[in-house]
Amino acid sequence: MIGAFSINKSLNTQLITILIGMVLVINLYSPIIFKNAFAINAEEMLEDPILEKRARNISAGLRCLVCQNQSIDDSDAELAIDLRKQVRDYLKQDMSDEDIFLALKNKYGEFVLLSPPIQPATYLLWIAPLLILGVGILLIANLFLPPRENNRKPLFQNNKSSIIKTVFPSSKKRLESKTGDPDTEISAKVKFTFPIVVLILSVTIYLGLGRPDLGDQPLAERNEIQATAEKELKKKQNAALSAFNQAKINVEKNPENLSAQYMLAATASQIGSIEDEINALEKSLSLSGGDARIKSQLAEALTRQAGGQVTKAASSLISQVLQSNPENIRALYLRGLELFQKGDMGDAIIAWKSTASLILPGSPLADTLKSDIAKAAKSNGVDIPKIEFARLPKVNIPNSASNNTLIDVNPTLFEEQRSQFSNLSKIEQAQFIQKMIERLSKRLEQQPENFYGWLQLANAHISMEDFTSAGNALISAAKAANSDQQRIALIEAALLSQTSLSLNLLVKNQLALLPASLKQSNSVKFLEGEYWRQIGDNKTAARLWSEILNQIPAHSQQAKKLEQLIAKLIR
Amino acid sequence: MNIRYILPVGIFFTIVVITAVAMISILNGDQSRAQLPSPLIGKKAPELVLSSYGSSQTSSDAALELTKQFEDEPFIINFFASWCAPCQKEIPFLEKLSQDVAVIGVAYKDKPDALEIFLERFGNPFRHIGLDNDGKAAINWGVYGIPETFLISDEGIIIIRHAGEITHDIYRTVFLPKIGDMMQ
Repeated sequence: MIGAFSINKSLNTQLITILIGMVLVINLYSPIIFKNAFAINAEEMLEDPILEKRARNISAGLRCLVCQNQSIDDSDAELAIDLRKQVRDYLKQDMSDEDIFLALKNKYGEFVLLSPPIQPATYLLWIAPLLILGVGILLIANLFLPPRENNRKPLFQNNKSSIIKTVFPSSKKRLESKTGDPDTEISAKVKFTFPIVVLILSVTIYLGLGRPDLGDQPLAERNEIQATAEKELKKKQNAALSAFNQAKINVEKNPENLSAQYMLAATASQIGSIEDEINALEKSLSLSGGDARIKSQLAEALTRQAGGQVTKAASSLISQVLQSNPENIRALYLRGLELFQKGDMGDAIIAWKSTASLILPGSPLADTLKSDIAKAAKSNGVDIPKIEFARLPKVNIPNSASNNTLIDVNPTLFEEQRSQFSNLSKIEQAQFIQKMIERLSKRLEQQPENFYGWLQLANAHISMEDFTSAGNALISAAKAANSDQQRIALIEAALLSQTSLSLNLLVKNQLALLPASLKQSNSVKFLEGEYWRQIGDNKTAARLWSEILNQIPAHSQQAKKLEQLIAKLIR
Repeated sequence: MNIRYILPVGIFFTIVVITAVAMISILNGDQSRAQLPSPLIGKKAPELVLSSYGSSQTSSDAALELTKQFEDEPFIINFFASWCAPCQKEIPFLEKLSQDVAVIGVAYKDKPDALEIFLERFGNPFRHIGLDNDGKAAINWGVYGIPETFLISDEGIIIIRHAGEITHDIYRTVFLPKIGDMMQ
């Protein structure tokens, strides 16, 4: 029934089981195997090498009471260092090893000894490894023993039995005494199933619980998190790709449209196509008549293309930007980078420091700046200079009403605060808005369904020119929106915010949710036209706006404005 | 079934169960240093010879045998440092305790000027302060880390060792009852 082949196979299974077991054991005990390098300093050591060796041995047997699972020899804790010194002092006083252990035990208790003493409470602790080892040997010996039936000798039995004879002399007797045993049928089955059961059990425990000593998540959970993250990423990439393709189509339709070109550059940057990005930025630049912001973006893209090296073309763009606006953050940072690459560390630090003075300490560039300045200072051999970021002065806004009134849009209070607001300086205004953003965010954490709260947060972010955060707030608002009126307000806010991929999608989705009757209204039609204009489809935009024009009095102010807008589109 | 196969499997699973139970109890239990028993409790307090902060600061070499100052009355020894936050927080409780028993401070690896600022800011409940500049006194008293507080009886026996901050609870449930007992 079970021939030689099967037995051969079962041996393979056993070997694999043992190997996997070994890997698991090594994995579990790796912290012990790859022990820390010693923590001891040269100054602590005793001059006499024999005494020093004794000191090291004693230290290795004493527990660091602060870190608890290290010896004082391995630990850098203050107490461990002191104890090491104490041990050496004792040695200098000619105390024996036992006396030293005893002296410390009297002060700190048994816990200070790293190897616990053998006493009734610790019997199990000491005997457990031997017990486990014994059981393991028993199990392995059992598995390696050939079956007792004569007709089921494995092919290689002759070779193996000699090994077994030497390793397990007692098995010789069993080999010789084997007769037809009714149990062999079962034993062969057990032989197959046991390693598999143990293997499955250990793997299940490992997958289900993780490793208790590392406190990480179970493998299944980790895989799930990774899978969702990958899925999310893929979704984003797909969305970015389709947006890029859409932008490309729009540019082909209207190659002379600035926002279409700019949109193409933005989407190209998102999919990482740097050539397309630079192309589109160059065209946007010429269409805009040399806009400084686009210039600095182009300089940055060129630098990225050159693998972080500021090229000549980028450098001349940076100079142009800084000439028109010496406070352009992007250009200023790139100037610093250029100087750094030229080896002019002093001037690089100056440029970067002035960049820092323009940004808030919490902004994403802040950390990069800090490490860059430190790098420059280091290679120049000077101390790291103090970096001063832009600071918003403290302003006391009368806090007569509760913190939350702004969200509830109390019109009189809002007007009152706004009139106070316009009296403030620009920086004070920023401070005020920043405070409002903090309060709003905190409140919205608890009330994610507060649509107007999200809308207000988005507006606050827009006024701080933080379009990414504004976009996120609008996306949250979209989740909270539950009436057509709210959707229209949302579309308006999204269109007012800077063009971005996710916001275009958001507007598109929100427009689709509106009922057809509402879509025929002039206000929604106008917004829809603006949407098409922003993504570069001027034709549709012009058609929608012309429809409005036909429905309103010909000589009204609105009509004049619309005519102007349409004329711009067609041009 | 052959006993040959059942026995090892049985032993294996028994070990697994014992290990699991032990592990769970260890993971659930609080292994804080405050709970480790001190072998010093019930024994005679070790000597405490330190240079003194304050009055004899000018002659800082003159070592002061602090434990000898209190031959027949109970006292408290508090290991602290100006750089340790829990030490700041427990000062009010030490101040309360100092109304009943003398409190001696042992400044662990501290600087006199930092100490001065600390005492001015957070209060000074100490009758004497000894300077343990090299941490030797702390080791001699089996101190794990600061703050650590000992209550010594009028016979010079260590009654309480508390590792960590004296909180309101510790003050109420650990120190007050013992001091009350001793006063009677």
